[in-house]
Amino acid sequence: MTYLKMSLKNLRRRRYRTLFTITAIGVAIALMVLLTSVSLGLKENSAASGSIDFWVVPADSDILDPVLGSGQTMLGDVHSEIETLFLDPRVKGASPVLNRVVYAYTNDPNKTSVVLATGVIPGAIDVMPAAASGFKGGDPYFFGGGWTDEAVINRQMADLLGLDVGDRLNLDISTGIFASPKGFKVVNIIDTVDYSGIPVVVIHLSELQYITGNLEGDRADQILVEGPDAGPLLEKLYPDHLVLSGSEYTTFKIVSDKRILATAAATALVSFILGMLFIGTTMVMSVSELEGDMAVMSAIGISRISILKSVFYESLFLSAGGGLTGVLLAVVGNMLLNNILTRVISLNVSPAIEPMLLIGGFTVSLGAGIFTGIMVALLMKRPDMTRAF
Amino acid sequence: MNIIQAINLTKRYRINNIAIDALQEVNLKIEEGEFVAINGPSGSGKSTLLHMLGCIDRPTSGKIYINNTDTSTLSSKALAKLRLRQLGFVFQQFHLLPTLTAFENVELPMREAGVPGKERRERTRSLLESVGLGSRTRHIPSQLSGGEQQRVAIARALANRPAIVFADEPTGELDSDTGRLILDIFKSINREFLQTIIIVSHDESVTSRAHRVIHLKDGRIVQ
Repeated sequence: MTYLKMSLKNLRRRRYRTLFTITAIGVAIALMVLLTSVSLGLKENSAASGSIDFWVVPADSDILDPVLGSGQTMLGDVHSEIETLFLDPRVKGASPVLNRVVYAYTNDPNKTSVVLATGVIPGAIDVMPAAASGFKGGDPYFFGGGWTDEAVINRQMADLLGLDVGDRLNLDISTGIFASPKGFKVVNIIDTVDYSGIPVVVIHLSELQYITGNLEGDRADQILVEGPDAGPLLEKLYPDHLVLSGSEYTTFKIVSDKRILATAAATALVSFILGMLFIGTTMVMSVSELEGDMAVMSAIGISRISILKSVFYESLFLSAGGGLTGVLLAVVGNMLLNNILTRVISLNVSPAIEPMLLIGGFTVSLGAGIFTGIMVALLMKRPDMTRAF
Repeated sequence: MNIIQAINLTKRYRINNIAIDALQEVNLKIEEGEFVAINGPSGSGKSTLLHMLGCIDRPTSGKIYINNTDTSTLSSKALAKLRLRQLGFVFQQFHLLPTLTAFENVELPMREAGVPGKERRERTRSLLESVGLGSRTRHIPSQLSGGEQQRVAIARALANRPAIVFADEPTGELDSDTGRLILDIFKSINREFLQTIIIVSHDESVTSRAHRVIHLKDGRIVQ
C-alpha cells in the first residue's frame, strides 16, 4: 500500500510530465481505436445493432464482404430454423440476414447504381422492427402470400437515386439482356446512424432470396438472435457453425478480414511502441530523479524488490491513465468525426465504437505499461547507497 | 560484549588508475551500549569507515563482525535484512522520503520488516512522541523544519529497535540549539535503551558527549 501511495504521490509531484505522458498515450490509443473502428464501420454490412446477443454464421463464411462472401458457405432452411428457435423461451427475437450487392435503378435501366441489399424478416427482431420500418410483419412471400414489394432505404440511397417515400425502384443482380428486375415501393427512409455508411436497401428476406437465387434452399448469411441466455441452445442447435457473442463477433469481424486485421494490428503495434516510448522516457527520468531516495531506502534496509515495486507501480498508473484517457478520447473523437463527416459528406463511418475495441485499446496501453515497467525495473542498477551520506 | 569488531579493514578506491587507500588496516572493537564518536579531518576516512561498519559498502579486505556475524559472508539480500533489523541510520541531510508523511516515514522500515499493523502504528506514534513530534505526524518533510526532520529521521532509525544506530554528521545542517536537542535525544536513547550509538562528526559538542572518540587520519586510527 505504501509503495502504491508513494508511486501515486511521485506522479502527482511531477504532474505536468505525468499529464503529458498520459495524454500522449491516450492520443495513441484513441487513434488506434478510431482507425480500427472506422475500418470496421466502412466495411460493416450486417444489420447488427446493440440489441443482438448472438450471431450464427457458417464456419468458413466471410460475413463482412457481400461481394467476395457471396460464393461461400451459407446457412440453409433458415425460415424453419427461426421457427425452431422461437419455440425456446430463451430466444427473445431472431432473424436470418442475407446481404448482397445488387443493381438499383428507378426509371432508366441504363442508369443503375450499386447498392447493398439486406434481407430480413421484419418484426422478428428489434434490428428491423416492422412497426418502425413500415414493413408488413413476417415474410409473407415465403409462406405463399403475395409479393410485398416493400423496401426500406437509408438516407444515402434516397439521395443517390432521388427517392422519396412512395416512389418505386427496381432491384436486380445483373444488368442488360440478363436482367429480370423486380419492382419495389419505398415504404420508409431510415435516417439512423446504423444505416448511414453506404447506400442500403432493406427488403423482406424471401424477396431478396428470390432476386439472388437463394430462395431454393432458403439460404441466408447469418442468423441474429436476441436473448442473453440463448448461447447454450445455439451451440447445441448449430454444432457445425460459429455461434458468436457480441465481443466474439467483433473479434471475428476483425480477424476474418485481413485488411481490418492489418489495420488493427498495425495501429495496436504503433500504439504499443508509442506507449512504451512515452512511459519508458518518463520512467527513466523518474528513476534518475529518485536515485537519491532509492539510495536512502536501500541504506535503511528496504529490499530491492520493494524499491522495484514502486517503480513498476508508476509505470502501471501511467499506462492505466493513458488507457482510460485513450478510451475517453476515442469515444469523443468518434462522435466528433461522425458529426463532421455526416455534415460534410453525409457519411457516417463508424456508428458506434465496439466495446471490444475500447477494451482492446485499454489492454494495449496496460500491456505497454507492464512491459516497460518490468524492463525499467530489470535494467535499473542497484542504487549507490553511499549517495545517502 | 563486542557488538562490532573490525579486523584489518582496508578499503581501496581506484580513481584514474591510481589506487587510493581510504582505510588502511583498521582494527577496532565497539561494545554493546557504547556511545562512540568518530572524528578526523576531511578525507581521513570517517565516512568510509561508517559505510563499512554499517554494511553500506564492502571492504577491499578485512572482516567486520556484527553481533558475532561475519558480514563478509552475507549476500546483498542478507545485508539488507541486517541493516533493516539490526542497524539504524541517521543522515546529515535527514533524507526522509519526500512524498511520505512523518508517520509513514517512520512506519516504512517496520512495514518492510513485517511488523503487524496495530503494533506498527502504536510504535510509530510512540516513537514520534518520544522525539517531541506527536502533533506533527501528518506533515510531509517539506512542512517540517530541519530539526523536526532530523527528529523524524531518528525515530525512523529506531523503528525496528536496532542494536546499533549510525549517524553521519547529524547536527551538520542544524543550528546549535537544535543540534544540542538532537544530541540530547541520542544520549537519552543510549542511556535508556542501551543502544550502541556511532556518530561521525567534526563537532566538538558531539565528541564531548561520547564515551569514546576514535580519531582517524589518512585512513588509520591514530588515537
